[in-house]
Parts: sequence; C-alpha cells; structure tokens
Amino acid sequence: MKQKKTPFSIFWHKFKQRKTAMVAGIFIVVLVLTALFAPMVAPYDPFETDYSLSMMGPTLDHPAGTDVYGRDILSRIIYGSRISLAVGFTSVFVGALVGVTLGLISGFFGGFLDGLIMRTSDVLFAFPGILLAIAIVAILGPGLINVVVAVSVFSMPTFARIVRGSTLALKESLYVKAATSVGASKKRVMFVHILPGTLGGVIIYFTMRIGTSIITAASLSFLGLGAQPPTPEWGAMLAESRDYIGVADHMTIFPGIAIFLTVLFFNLFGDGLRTALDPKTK
Amino acid sequence: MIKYFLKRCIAILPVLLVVSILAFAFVHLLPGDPARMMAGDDADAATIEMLRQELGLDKPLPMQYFTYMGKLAKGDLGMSLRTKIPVYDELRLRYTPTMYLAMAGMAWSVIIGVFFGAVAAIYNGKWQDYTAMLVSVSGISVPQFWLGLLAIQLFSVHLGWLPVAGYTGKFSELILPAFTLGATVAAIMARFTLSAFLDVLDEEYISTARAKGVTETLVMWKHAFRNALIPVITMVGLQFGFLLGGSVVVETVFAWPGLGRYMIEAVAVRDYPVLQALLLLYSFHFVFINLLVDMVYALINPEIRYE
Amino acid sequence: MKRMVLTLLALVLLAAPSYAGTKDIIYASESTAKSLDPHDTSDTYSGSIQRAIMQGLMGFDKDLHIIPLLAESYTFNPEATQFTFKLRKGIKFHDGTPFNAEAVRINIERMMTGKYKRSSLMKPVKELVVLDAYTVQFNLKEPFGAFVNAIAHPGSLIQSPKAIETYGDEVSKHPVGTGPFIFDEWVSGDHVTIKKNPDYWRGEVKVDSITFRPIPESGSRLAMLRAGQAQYIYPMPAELLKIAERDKKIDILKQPSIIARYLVLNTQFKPLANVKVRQAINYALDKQAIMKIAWGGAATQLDSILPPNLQFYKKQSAWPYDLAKAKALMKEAGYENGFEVVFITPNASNRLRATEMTQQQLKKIGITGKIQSMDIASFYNKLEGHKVDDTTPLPFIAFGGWSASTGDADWGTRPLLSTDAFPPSMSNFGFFSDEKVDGFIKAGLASADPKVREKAYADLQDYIWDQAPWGYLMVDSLVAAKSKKLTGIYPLPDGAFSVEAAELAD
Repeated sequence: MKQKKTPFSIFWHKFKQRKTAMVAGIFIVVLVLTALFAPMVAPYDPFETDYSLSMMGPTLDHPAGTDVYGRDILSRIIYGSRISLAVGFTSVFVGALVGVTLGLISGFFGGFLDGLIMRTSDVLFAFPGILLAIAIVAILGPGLINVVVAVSVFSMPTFARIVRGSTLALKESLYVKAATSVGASKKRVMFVHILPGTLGGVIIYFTMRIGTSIITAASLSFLGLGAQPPTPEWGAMLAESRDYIGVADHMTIFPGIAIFLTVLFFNLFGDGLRTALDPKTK
Repeated sequence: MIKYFLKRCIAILPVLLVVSILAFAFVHLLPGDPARMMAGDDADAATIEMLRQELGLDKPLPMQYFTYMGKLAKGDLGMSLRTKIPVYDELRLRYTPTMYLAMAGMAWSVIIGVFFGAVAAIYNGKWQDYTAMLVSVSGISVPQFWLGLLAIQLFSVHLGWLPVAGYTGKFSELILPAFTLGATVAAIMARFTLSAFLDVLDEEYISTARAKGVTETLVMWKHAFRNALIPVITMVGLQFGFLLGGSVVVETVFAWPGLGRYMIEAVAVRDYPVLQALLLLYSFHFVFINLLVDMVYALINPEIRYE
Repeated sequence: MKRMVLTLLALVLLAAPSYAGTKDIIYASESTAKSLDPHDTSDTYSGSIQRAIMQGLMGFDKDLHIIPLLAESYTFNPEATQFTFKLRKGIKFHDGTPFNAEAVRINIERMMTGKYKRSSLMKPVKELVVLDAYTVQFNLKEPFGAFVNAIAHPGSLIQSPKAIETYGDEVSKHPVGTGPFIFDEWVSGDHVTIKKNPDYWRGEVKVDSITFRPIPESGSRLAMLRAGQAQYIYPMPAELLKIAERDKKIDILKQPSIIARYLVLNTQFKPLANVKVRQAINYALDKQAIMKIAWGGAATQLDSILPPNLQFYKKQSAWPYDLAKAKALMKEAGYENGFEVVFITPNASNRLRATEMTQQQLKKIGITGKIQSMDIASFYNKLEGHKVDDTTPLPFIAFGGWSASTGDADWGTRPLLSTDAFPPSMSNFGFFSDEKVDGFIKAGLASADPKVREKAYADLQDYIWDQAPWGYLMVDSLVAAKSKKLTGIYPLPDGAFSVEAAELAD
C-alpha cells in the first residue's frame, strides 16, 4: 500500500462505489443537458394551445398527454426543467453565498458580530421554513423571483452554522496558526486558508438543499404563491392539475414524477458525496 | 443543571421579542386590508370605514404596535377579526388536532426512520443499505401535497379503506395525514440514524465488545443502538418543529382543523391578531423544543451540561 | 427505544379527541362559518346556515323571487318612501319568546346603529314605527325602490330579542331564531351542527340534525360524498363532473346563479377607453371555450349586464366569437399592432384558468401581457389602490365577479357601473362613467312601482350592452351533489342554500 492517494482519488474511489450516487450523477447531467437544449428536445411549443385537444391522455403524439388547454405536457415538463433547476440552483446559491460569508465572519471574528449573526439565524430558525417562505412571498407578491428570495432566506442560517462550525475548528488548527504567524493578512487567512476547508460540508448541504428548494418552490406554487401562468414550472403544473385528479390523472402524475425523480437524484447524489467525503466510511 | 436551564430560558426571551416585532411587521406588510375582507365582497365604503374604526386599524401603526405589545405582556392575544372570538380560544380549539397529528406523524416516522437507518448502518454498503436509503430518501423527494392527494385517491377513493378527510376522532382518519406528514421526517430520521450509527460503530468500546466475543447482534442492539440514539433524540426535537410547519400543507389537503389550516385561512382574510399569535406560537414551539432537546441531551451526556 | 415508542404512542392516544357517534346529515362545504349573527355577517356561507336557524320578514324562494315569511303581506306608497309590513301571528322563537312587532323593532334598531356589517341594508331607513303588536312601518329618508329586497336579504334575519339582550354581540355564538332548525354547536374552524325544531311553525322538519363541515380541497369533498362520509357537497367541483355522473349513488344538482363573471377593463387606460377596442375584446373572447374549460361547463353565457335570475333582467343578443371582426375593430380604433396590459386575477384555480385563456385569446388581436394572480385580499388592494385621477393608470384587465345579494337590479348595476361607485366608495374598478347610465340607474331607484323600474333597467341594459364596459363572460351555474337518499336540500341562485325541506330516506 505504498501507492500515493490524493484526497480526490480517495473521494472518487468511494463515490464510484456508491452506485446510486453514480446513477444520480448521470441523471443530473442528462437533466441539465435537457434543460439547456430544451427547444431541440421538446416535441412541441410548450405554450401552443389547442382547445380541441384538452386533457387527452398519453398517446404516441403526446407521450405525457395534454393539459386543459391542449398543450403538450412532455414539452412543458422539458421546458419546466429549466425553471425548476434554475430556481433550485439560484436560490441555494444565493443562500449559500450569503450564509457562507456570514458564517465565516461569525466564526473568524467571534465576539459581537458572532453573537449578532447567530442570534439572527436563531430567529430565522424559529420560523418553520415553509411559513417563512409563505410570509416572504405573501409580502413581495407571487412570482418566481420572489420564490427564489424566499427560499434563499431560509437556506442562509444553515449554511452560516455549518461554516461557522468548521471555521471555529480550523481557526485552531496548526496550519492556520502557522499562516497567521508568518504574517498572512486576515483576509488571506479567511479566504485562502479557512474557506477551502469549510467547503466540503457546504457542498454536501448545497446538493441536498437543491432538492428541498425545488419542493418548496413547488409547494409555494401549489399554494398559489409561485410561478405565474403560463410558466411551465412543475409545481404550478401540479397545482393546475389538482382539480382534475381522478379525471385526468396524467396531468398530475407526469409533473409529479419529474419533481420526484429530480429531487430524489439530487438527494442521492448528495448522500454519495457525503459518504465519499466522510472519513469513517470505507 | 437548574442554573443552566434558567440561563437558557432567559436567552429565549430576546428571540421571542424579536419574533413578536417581526410578526407584527409581517402581518402589516401584507398587502390588503382586513376591514375590506371582513366587510365582504359587496361592501360599501361606509361599512369598511366602520369596521376599520372598530378594529382599531385607523390608528397609526406605532400606536397599534404598542397596544398589541401591551396586551401581549398581559397575556391577551386579542380577538379574531373574522369571528370575534378571542384568539386564545380559537388557538386552543386547533391546538389539539395539530399536536395529535404531529405526534402521530412523529411516532411513525421515528419508528420507520430509525429502523431503516439502523438497517442501512448495519449492512453498510450492502443491498439492504441501498434499499433502505432509497426508500427513505424517496420520502424527502415527494412534495407533501402531491403525496397526500395521491394517497387519498388510492386508499380512500379507489380502495375505500380509509376516510377521505375530516376530524371526528376516529383513528382511521389519522392514518393518511400522519403518513403524509411523517414521510419527510422518516427520511430525515433514517439518514440521521445512519450517520449516528456509523459514528458509534467506529468507537472503541464497540471494537472492545467485539474483541471480547460479544455476539454481533448484541453489539448492535445493546451497545451501538443505545448510543446512537442520543443524537437521534436531538433530531426528533428539531424535526418536531418542522412537522408543525409542514402541517400547513397537510392540514389543507386533509381538511384537518388544526393550526396550519387556520394559518392559511387567517392569511386569506388578513386576520392580524390571529396571524401574530400563530407566528409567535410556532416560534415559541421551535425555540422551546430546542431547549428541551438540549436539556435531555445534557441529562444523558453530563459532560456538555455546563458548556 | 421501546419505552420511547410506548410513550409516544401513549401521548398519541391521550391526545385523541372523543366524540359520540351521531346520526345526521353531513353537509361538506368549501368554507368555514365565520359568524352566526346575521346582522354582522358578510359571507354567503355563514348566511346560509343562519337561514336554517332564523328567518326574515321576507325571504327568497328557489328562483330568487321574494316571498313573505314572518310577514304576511306588505304595502308601500308610490314614492317608495314608506313600507308597511303585517306580521304573522302565533310564532315563537326557539327560546319561547313570542315573535311580534317589538321583536322586529329590536332587530331593526340594532342594525340601524351602524355597528354591523349589514347595517348598510338599513341605511335608507329614517325610522321604524310600531303601528300595533303585529304591524311595523318603515319610513325612508329618500325613495328606495329596492327596499323590500333589503328586507328579504339574509342580513335582515330576525333574531330572538331575548337572545340579543342576554348575549349582546356574543349572540354570534348563540343564534336563536324562528327557523326549522335549532342551533346546537359551533366549533370554530371545524363544524356547525343544527338540530330539528320540533315546533316549527311551517310544518314538521324531517331530519334530526345537520352538520356543516368545511372540506376545502374540492377533490376530497367529492370523495367524501362517494364514500358515504357526507350526504351533500357544495360546491361540487365542476372539473370532476365526469366522475360524479358515473356514480350511481349520487345526484347532481345544477342551478343557474346570479353570479356574473366578466373582465373589468380599466377605462382610465387610453386604449381601453376606446369603445371600439372594448368591443373588439368582446368579439375576440371565445366564451364557449372559457365556459367549457375554465369553468368545467358549469356556466351559461352572460347575455346582458345582469344575470337572468336578477329582477328586471332583459336579454340582449350575445357577442359572438369573431376574430375577423375583432381585428377590424382594433384597426379602426388605431391599435392594429395591439398594446400591452396586465391581467390581474384572484388565484382561485378556475379564475386563474379563465384569465390564462383570456391571455391566450387576446394575444390573437395583439393585446398581450403578463398575468398577476393573487389572493383576494391583495386583489382588492390592487384594484382599490387606483384613484380616478391617476396620471399613469395601470393598464389592467381584471377578472371580476359579482353576486347581487339582494336579488335586485339596482345592486347588480349601481355598485359596478355608476360614476358614484368609483373605488374606494364602491366596486366600479374600471372607472366606467357614462351620464346616460347614471341617469337610468337613478330612475330605477326613484320608484317602488315594478313597471317604472322595469322600464328604467330595460333602457339601461339595452344601452350599456354595446358600450361594452366589460369583457362579458358568463353566469355561474351552481353545482352541488348529494346522496340519492337525500332530498330537499338545494342551492339558491345567490350561492346560498336551503335545507328546510331536507329529508333522508333509509
């Protein structure tokens, strides 16, 4: 066992072993490609209505059937992947950006700033996530951008806590102490020496959070607070189909499956990452 | 111990104070006028104005805030604008259904979640692990409202096994909502149990026990399980707050007359006092449960007690 | 572990509520009861429950015609300023208090204090004179031809004077009336139960009790009926009619309503101030498709400014769906290339669908724009936030609806289309203003003589139809569904319902 192992090769070795995670990774890549090339992949214009085709079940022409206005559901799901991915990714990204920065500041400087940031995040934590989202969207008005804002806000405190925790640990490490002793600036220590060390936890949470965000966005659409028609957002499609459960089940099943698979694979991928980054697993 | 508890209790107060300010700000930032909603669709300006005065909405905001805080300090939550019933009475009516549902949801999700998590840990990397984790991860991947609607369709409409909705005290009415509500938490519990288990299995005393020739089953159930349970309890507490929040969606789908549906109704008509009270109550739960969890934790693991 | 599970289970069992099983009719509805005080109620659902417990001097029958209830008859003077009611004798409230002129006086004077949501109904009243123990006379401040409708309105129900005295405004939780059912229990947010009045003055009541239970999710409501967990549901979701029709155990009740649906066109916005553009919009709307898809077929086309069931309705020739004409009119008006608007709608799913279809259809004549859906409170806030002198008016087309709860043509027109009704005072959200319209509306109120009033409203309807202040859409059909065993419960045109004649076969 003299062969040299880089952290990445250990990670890759373990990640490959987690087959569900590999499958999930492939699915996510395919999904991202679908979203990018939606106009080429989608068989129809997702906004094209034909009332005479209203609520047709799956056929060869329309493999996922049509919605109330006779729009092709498959095409809408394909275009919808752009929206769900964008909402999921953007909201978590914004949440992570702010959360990580705050966590870093909080952990690194401690004292008053630390107290302020952590108490604020306590308050945010004290509101259950979906309520916070409902509150924010209710005030700002419905729409995708506001959904992104709402979902970001309630991702922030967790990111902040994760990063604060690892910052506190890293601050005491020999490596950082050495850097400080040779006169590295605070900024440099923070961003060059500490930040990279916190990223493992951040990445895991990031991946997991995307799934939750997609679901939260869908739930907000379900409550009438999310995407505005005719946007083919998946949650909005589910909300539209809700009145027809039992009459036109395909309208609810297909977008539901799209959400389910996407979130499932993001979660499995996140699980794989965690297992692979966890030194305790073999 | 008591000193620690008191210290923590005092620390809750500023959080609740901030929440009360936020709750007040939130309801007044909502676009829309409660008087308009109370007056009805075909109301005239005079009726709306009469209501605005009656409800005290014509007063300047800071004054309304101090009135609200003054009453709150005395434990008076005000009156529902919509029904003119004291908010306290309205909440009391809806508290039991929500708690009943949340506890049932918690109970089944803990049992299933811990079981799946333990299986996944014991058979780490084997097919049992994959299956257990796949099933439980599915639980957090389904939107609750969708799961609920499909479950009603399958079990109540097609199979006719369970009641569709309602709350009249029958146990059968509880099954679907509790299942739907707990699905997410079961998944979270499973993952958490898995990692807690793996942590414990790494500990020295497990290796010692194994070395001593204790049978594997005994090692797992007696040594590992008990110790893995501590972080799991923490999670139960944290997720309880999540369940209370999740009840907003589930209670709507299942017509469950609890706090969550009340919240949606109160938002719809801008019932300010009710909304403020609900937000306070939800946050109070969250904070209080966290405190309880920490206390339990401290009881089990004396080392962290005075930290 | 085992102990924890047991503890949790024990907690669950302890928390379980216990109710005794009851044998009654379960009425599953969309809404929850908000008050049981008719004078202080603004929603149709609470009003409907109250109508089972209490009655007014006058009431409405199935077709919204005014019928005498606690009054035997009434007379009025030609100027429509004095109305005299003869009361029925020998009726007692549920608490034993006799019904008489004194009871009426206490109720009407309570309303006249101006403190209640339905106080506005008695706003025209100058004074109430008790002529004898069974005769009351209303003297009005000015002519108000629609006054009998105000008396028949569910907001003018008569409560027991003793209950008003005992409970004050708490009477909203202790309703006592003369109706077929006696109030039993109200658990706020959950259910209201009423039970049979054994001494009902109009004859025997055939069921023991009715429980009104809110089931907000429409699919669940139908599922409950099909599973026998409810005997009557309203509204029956029109989207699911296909399933309900297949079920042999249930009946569907369909009934035209007085709820008009239309698009409010903001005439402050220059293009929409142009009558040709408004006409073009009416030609461009595919009303049939909207009724079928957005409303699940539960609607009839709106063919006058008033729905057919309102008093003094006069049918007009419906606007056909004609894209070519619509485009030609847009061209004539100088908007060949169209313009941009904002579509505002409440976020209830059928309204949202209708708006989405409006957006799809108007796009074909170049009127494009984004949809803004919001809950009702925000919707009103948005529409009522506009002032008549706004310099940059929001170019909105809003999905509007109106139910004239008094059943009278005045309440179906004046609050919506008269110049006096600009928000915030009333609901003329499109700021439509026309001297002739104002004149007709005034003439309709100046007399209580049905012939004079009919003429005024006929002229109004003929004239305004071509002015197209709205994008005319449809009139709701009320759809309810019930178990075949149940008879005698039916929806009323104003969206309320009647349970007096309920009967349940074994």
